[in-house]
Amino acid sequence: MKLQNLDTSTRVLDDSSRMALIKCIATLGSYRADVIQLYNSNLHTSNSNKKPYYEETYELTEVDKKYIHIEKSLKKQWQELRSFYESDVYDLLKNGMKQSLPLLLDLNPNKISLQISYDKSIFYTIIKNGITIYFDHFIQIEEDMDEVVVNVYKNKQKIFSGSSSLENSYQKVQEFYLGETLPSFISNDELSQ
Amino acid sequence: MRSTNAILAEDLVDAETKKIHIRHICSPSENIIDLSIILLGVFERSYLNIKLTPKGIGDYNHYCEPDEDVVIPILNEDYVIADNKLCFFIKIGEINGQRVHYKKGDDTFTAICEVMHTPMRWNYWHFSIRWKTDEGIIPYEKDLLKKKWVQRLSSDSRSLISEFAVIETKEYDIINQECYMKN
Repeated sequence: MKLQNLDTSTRVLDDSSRMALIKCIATLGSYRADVIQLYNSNLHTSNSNKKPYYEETYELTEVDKKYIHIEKSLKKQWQELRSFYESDVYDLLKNGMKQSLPLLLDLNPNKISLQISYDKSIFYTIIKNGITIYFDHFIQIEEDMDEVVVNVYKNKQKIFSGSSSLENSYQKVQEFYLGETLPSFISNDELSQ
Repeated sequence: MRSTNAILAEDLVDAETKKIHIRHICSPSENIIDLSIILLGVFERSYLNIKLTPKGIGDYNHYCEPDEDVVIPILNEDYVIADNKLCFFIKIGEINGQRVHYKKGDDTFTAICEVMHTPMRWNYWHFSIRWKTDEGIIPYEKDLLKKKWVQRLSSDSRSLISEFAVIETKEYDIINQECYMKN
């Protein structure tokens, strides 16, 4: 079993196929996260003579290492902020992260960070090729509530801003990094549903 | 400039992205869509160490008119000098006028960031980062706004300040006296 980054060259796909691929990435990303959890859960110890199957075949990729690093950051931040939230919020945050982080790591950013906001959102900062994207994933999903707010800056100029579902927002960011032309800020004040 | 609760410089900034940690932009008890800042210049960086006492808060931690007569606060009675606070800086010109446009179905608004002079009895140089629509300044009580608007404005405020906040400032201009002194 060798988990690798999916090829996310979705340029040739139509919209429905692209959406399906994005969902697949998220699902696999979550599955991969669970495998990493298992890998790190000390099921194999130095006392064990027999290595578990998964250790023999599973290799941590650079993306996996980034995922683990960011997950640790989430945990650390939660320890500092937990007094402000109800106890069940951590699970919501973590599940939200498992949905959005694999997608964003698939963009292969130069730099990425995760922060917990005081509005029950996971606030990502992604820097790639001189462009900074703020991807604010609100995990308390309610009817008619936007799920992600995206702001994009280049050379200190805001070049894109909008809010939509996680999948739509990721697709928009992905299109942006693929080099497709974005509508101007004035006409594209809202990501399409 | 705005003071933070960070003690160490490495706590203030994310090591990966070099952006200010959003938890140091605003605390839960504050309101990111009505954020207090101080104009650097006549008010010097070291003055951030001023901490009002409970008496000082009661007497001085209120908005006032720019020309209000205020009795000068007394050291150790109305305020004390606290430990050095870390802070960040933003150029007003980089955020003033920034827009947020929200549209979902028939629900729509456009808000523009406005850095306003909001003097307080303890500090004439107190300013506020607020948002304004065609109907005026957005009320800072979150309960008065639709939840989705608050969510969007809060997020855009976070992004805006993350993008433009810096932890060091180079030389800066001190505002001309003619701009604030009465004849």
